[in-house]
Amino acid sequence: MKIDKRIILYLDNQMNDEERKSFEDELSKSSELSNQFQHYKNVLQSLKVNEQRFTNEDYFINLVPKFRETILVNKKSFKIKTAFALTAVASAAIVLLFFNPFQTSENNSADKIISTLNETEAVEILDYYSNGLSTINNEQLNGYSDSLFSDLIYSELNLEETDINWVVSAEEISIENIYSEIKPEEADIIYNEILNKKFF
Amino acid sequence: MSEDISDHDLVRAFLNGDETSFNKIINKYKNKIYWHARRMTGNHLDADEVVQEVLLVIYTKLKDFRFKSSLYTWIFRIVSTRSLNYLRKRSLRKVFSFDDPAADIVDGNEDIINDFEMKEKIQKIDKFLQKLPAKQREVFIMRNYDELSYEEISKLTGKSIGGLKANYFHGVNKILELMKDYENR
Repeated sequence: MKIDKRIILYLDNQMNDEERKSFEDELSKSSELSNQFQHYKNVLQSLKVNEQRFTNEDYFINLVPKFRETILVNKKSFKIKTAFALTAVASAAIVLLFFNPFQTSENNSADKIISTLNETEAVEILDYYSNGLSTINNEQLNGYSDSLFSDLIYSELNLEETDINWVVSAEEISIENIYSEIKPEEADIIYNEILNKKFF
Repeated sequence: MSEDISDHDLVRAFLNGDETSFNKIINKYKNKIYWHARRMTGNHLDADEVVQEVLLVIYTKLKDFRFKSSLYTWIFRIVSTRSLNYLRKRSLRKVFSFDDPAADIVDGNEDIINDFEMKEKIQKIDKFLQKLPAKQREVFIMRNYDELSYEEISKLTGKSIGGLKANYFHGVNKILELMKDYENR
């Protein structure tokens, strides 16, 4: 059976005087409507429960203390977060101060120092620092160049190790002797050939 | 009237730094706050979350209270808004949750009702109410439990009286049908 909508409107006091009177007349005449009305009135009434009589009062007693505790925790966590943020900012500032990645390089600093010197001072400094640069004496250089040239010549002539030993020991060829026996034109040709030769 | 004056004094005292006045305000309205949130959310744990949120809003916004309405109306508006917001958040959580749907079922043991029979009855009413759409549920609760007039509900919710009456009518109709089905089982 469908719910008579007028019951809801009547119980909710949504009827005007005329509608109300007409419904009340019908209610007094129809037992079916009257029963339905009483039933739904009881159902709606049954939904209204006095819960407060059966509730655990501890919950309500602890409501505000629990809230205050939450606020306190939030405040603390805010303080911790603020302290952490400040520490992070301070650390970043220290790092930037001591290890500034945007700072100009040392070369640039040297350039700046040199630019402030006059010509004499610059020459003196360059002389001072260039003294130790050339440490190989001429004898060492000759020996080194002899060995280099000898290797190149042996390789070019396809000489075996035994031949090398023979050449070196028999003839005592030195680079000075070769230089002295070669004409300037021949030297130019050899020089150009060496320059154009692809060794690797 | 005397209640309004008392509320006024309590608010003034709180704004002057008397923290105990806040406790007094909450003690006065705690039952209404809780039960509105409970009926809207349908269980104790969710209601408790709404209540804590409401207390926080009251605590932080009380300085902006200008006595343009009664303190009760102001608090009730906060409870109503926060409850609806919570329901929205909860339904969003359900939509986007990849968890087991069974995990959403609230443990009925977590309740503040001492009496076993009463607990069952209230939890049954909670279930019926949850079957109503949120707007209908809100009007039904305000009308049936908080016993507010349509004019008061209209002030609280900002909805037209005609719309509220329609919502209440549909809400009651649905509740009665649900109860009928339950009885016929």
